[in-house]
Amino acid sequence: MTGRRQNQSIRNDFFEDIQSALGHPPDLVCRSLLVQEEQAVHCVYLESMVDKKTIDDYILKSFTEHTFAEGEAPRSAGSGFLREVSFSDPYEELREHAVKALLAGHCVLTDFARERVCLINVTEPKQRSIDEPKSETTIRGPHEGFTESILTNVGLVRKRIRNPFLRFEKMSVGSQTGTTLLMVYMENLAPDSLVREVRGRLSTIRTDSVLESAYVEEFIQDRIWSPFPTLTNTERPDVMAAQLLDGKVAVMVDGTPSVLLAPMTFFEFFSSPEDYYQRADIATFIRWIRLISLFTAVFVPSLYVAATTFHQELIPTQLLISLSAQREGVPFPAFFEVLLMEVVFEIIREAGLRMPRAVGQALSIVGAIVLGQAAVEAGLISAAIVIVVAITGITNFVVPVYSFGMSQRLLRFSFVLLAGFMGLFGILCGALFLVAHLVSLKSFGVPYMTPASPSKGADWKDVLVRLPRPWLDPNRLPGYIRNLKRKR
Amino acid sequence: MAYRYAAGMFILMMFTALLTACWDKTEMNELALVSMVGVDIDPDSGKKTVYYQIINPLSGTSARGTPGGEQAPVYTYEISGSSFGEIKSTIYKMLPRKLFIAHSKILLVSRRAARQGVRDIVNFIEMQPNGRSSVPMLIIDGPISQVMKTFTPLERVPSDAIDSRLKLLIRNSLLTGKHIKVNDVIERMEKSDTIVLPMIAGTTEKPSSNSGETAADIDANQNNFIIGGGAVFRDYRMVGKLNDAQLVWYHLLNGDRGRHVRRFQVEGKQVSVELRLVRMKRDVYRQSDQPVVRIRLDLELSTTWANEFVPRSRAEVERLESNLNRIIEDESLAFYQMTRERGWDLLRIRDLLRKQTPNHPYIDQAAKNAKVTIEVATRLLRTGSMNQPYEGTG
Repeated sequence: MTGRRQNQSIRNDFFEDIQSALGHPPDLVCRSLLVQEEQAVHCVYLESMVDKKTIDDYILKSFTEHTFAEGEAPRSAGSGFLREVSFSDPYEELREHAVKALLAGHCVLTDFARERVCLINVTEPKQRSIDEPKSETTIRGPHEGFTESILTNVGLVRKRIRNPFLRFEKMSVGSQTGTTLLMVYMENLAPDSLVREVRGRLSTIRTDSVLESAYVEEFIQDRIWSPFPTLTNTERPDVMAAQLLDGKVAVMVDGTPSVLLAPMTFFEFFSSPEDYYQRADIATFIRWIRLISLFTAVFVPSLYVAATTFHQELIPTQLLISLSAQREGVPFPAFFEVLLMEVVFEIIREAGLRMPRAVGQALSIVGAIVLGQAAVEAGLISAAIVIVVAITGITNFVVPVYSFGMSQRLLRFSFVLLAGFMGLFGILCGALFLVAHLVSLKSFGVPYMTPASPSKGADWKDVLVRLPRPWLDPNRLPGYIRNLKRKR
Repeated sequence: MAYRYAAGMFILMMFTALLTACWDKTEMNELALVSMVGVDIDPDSGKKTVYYQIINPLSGTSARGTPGGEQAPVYTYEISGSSFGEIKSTIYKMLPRKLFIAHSKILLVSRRAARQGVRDIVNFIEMQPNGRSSVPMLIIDGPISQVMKTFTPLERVPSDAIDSRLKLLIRNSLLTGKHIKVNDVIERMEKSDTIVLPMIAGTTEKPSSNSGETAADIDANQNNFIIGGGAVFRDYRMVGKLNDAQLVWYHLLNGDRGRHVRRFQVEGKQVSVELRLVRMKRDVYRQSDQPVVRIRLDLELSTTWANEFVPRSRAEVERLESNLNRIIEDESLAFYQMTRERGWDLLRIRDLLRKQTPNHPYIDQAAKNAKVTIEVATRLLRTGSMNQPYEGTG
């Protein structure tokens, strides 16, 4: 009798502690049922996170239909997803385990008579279906994209690389969120030094929360003060698989479809997965288009400002007359015009991202027609500026990696400022600084400008030109990965 | 690392203080775009007059401009002064925008100014901060204001009209050559060589000052100017004039490669032949202490434009070729004799001798005494699409 009362007391304390630990949530459910005469089994779970059908069919039903011998576990619950926590553990630890398990979508099954607690995983997989990533669409090639569920993402990678050397190393970051990270690499391909480096950087992350892979990226990137990303992110499992097969390391973060990949070099930002899904000549042509687009996006507004305000002799006569005619009656200097229109363009773009889709379309039309055409008609800006801003805006989207496009936007503004103050000299100074910065940048120990600097002739086969696949060695890793392996 | 960059940027910014930058900034609508410059010097008073032809961006010459010529495509500003330096300042008494001559295409010099010497004029062009000496220089045969105030049909900007005509003439005739730019003049004059510059003359004594009237007139020969003849320059002075027939031999013997059609009389028959220089070789050898300059011309002939006589057999072709060889040799030698008598070294024999014997003490005398032989080898390569012109013989 005393034992029963004691159990009763423990039970009450236990449930109250759990409730208060979770802040008396409305979705916390506690179901009790009598298994044998006086033995009650209590099943506690967060209703919003579990699959109630599993609890009913496999757990509670097994208690109502069977009686168990002393010490026997409910077999029908499936021993595979049953974790037993002994009452012999300290009470604090027991409670902590239970709270964590509840938050992870487990149900806590307590049998106070037998002094045991079972944690059973009954998570209902709440996730969206596998869709094509919106920011990385391709015409040809797989249309699957990662989801917010890390396990689904692992499955998508495994589907592509059926190889026992594929390694997943699990970590947990975020003192508040307890987010699961997976470091993924091919043990036989990825250099040990690289794996150690990534592991080391991941282990040094000290943060309260990780809600997206960008949180992790900021902690493990090589340099904070650089407009250039030293890691890339992808939502495409085929891209991740291709990069893993090149000996790189991926970091998957639970709750986000974006997977980080390292190391990355400057020229790799110009290649898209689609390059490998179409003929080599077409892929090469498109790569050049991307490269030209980079220079257009970064330099066209600044060159326009420099040429029209400092170096008019550089402009062909007919073009100069035409530009001069357009500037007749325009009140602002060309530098201010460009800056104004670029800022307006960025505002429209940012607004377009946040707006609901239907309004967003209307906004873009208003932005294009009202701000462009009407401003020219009103004589506030010259028509050439609208063309310059439009060209740079469009070319900015050509680069396959969105984060690299963002860095182009920053650079564009810097160069416009330099051109406005110092003309072509300013642009040249800026370009030299940029080159110096690029060659000094490293991504996980790999020089960012590889294979241009340090120059490696053999590695140019898949940089500016993509050679046909039969001409490429299928077992050949990128030069910098081979270097890292050799150093080992 | 960030500090290092900041320090580098700061040092760089300090250096920019030495440069003309922000204060050098000029918006395009603050510029007067000069398309053509004309220069005249009064021989009596020494008064210099400069004509600046400024492009009107709002005329029909640009996309933004009003089509149909409602506004004049160019405006001519005339400014006089006792020196060119003075003109540079006084121009702003009339001109509301900053003079920008980097896009000037043509330099015109009046004949009377050319007779006095163009040294000051080329120096004036060279000294301008944004001036270009790679523009063609033409001599005006007649009053300068007549040409400077003429609107041209078809090409609305007169400098474009002249520039375009010069390019077409270089390709389709031997009436002008490539070496007619201000820097060619400087180079030749500094080497005491002789040069021939094209001449230009107005076709109407009082051209219309209204571009609309000019545009409405069907007669393109009215209110226009014409390129013809050549002005011979030595020591920066115009010393004579060549007519169009002489210009052909001048350009041919100076290696210009334009296609030129000329009518020759061969065995009593008239034949129009297109000439094109394929190769020219000039060498010097000595014959009993006298330098002999041998010039060999390989010419390509075409009877495409011949409607009087077309050779129909191999024998006729060979006869035509040998006759033309002889005629061209004779005429070009006659041209050389004419230039030699006038003391013009238009075949640049002095330059050739100087290259061979740089330390010759009496190079001018040697050039005058040099014997010149001209060999011509013609080949009829194209006979055109008609081998028998319609003759109307029934």
